[in-house]
Amino acid sequence: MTPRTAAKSMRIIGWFSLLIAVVFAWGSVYDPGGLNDLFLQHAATGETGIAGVATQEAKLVMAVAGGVFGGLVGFYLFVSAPGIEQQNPMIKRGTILAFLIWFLIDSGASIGTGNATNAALNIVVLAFYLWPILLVKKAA
Amino acid sequence: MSPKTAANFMRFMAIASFLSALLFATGAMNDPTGSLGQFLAIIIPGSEGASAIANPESKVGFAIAGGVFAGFMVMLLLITAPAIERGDKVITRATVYALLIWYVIDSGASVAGGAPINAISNAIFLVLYLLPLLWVKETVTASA
Repeated sequence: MTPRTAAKSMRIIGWFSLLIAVVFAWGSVYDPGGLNDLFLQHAATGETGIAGVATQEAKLVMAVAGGVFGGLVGFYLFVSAPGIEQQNPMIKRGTILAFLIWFLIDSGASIGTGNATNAALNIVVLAFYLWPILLVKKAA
Repeated sequence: MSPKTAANFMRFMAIASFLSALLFATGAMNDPTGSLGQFLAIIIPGSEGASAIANPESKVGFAIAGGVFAGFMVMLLLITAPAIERGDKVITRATVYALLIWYVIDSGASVAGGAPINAISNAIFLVLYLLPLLWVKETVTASA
């Protein structure tokens, strides 16, 4: 894949992820299409889905998670994508490391709290973000 | 502040936030340090602390928040801080956009979810993150 194609793919993934971040953050207030409910039914071992996010504390956590997710994918969109297009090795390395750190902490804590299915889902999500970065070839 | 000072300030913020992210993620596992309970008590008056995060759906939210927050801070540490030191305006401006996105989404949803104090807390942190990005002195790159 050329750097230009990789960057274009990252921009599509980034904008899509920004929408998901907003939907996730507002999930406890408004869940369009039941997306958060569907996600929690699969990611958590409980059976209540979004209805399980009932306390003020749990709602706050969804807001925080959606917000920092928005920040991370904003960085992916506005810093990582142009950096991959320009073949900047520091941005490539930093982005890969950042997503690996996310994966390890999120998956570790998910397994620690008995939600191993979220760790399995994270493998798919990790691949979703990293494939354009890992498949990019140096331009001649 | 000088580019070097600004970069070091950003590194300090990123590392401190990274450690907070770890506490956030481990908070879902019975809050071993008690720091999560203290955070919740400040943001939500009358909070029952980490004990209010009892079911799997709430706990997985903590794991996600901690993991994503940590990843975001690694970006600031490994990409933004060196960019500030180099005087790279493109990356510093793009980092401002990413931070504003975090602030708007997190604060908006917090207010809607009944925790407006988190928006105030976020404003303080936003200023701290933006300080090294916006108050850094321009470096002289060309000489006469």
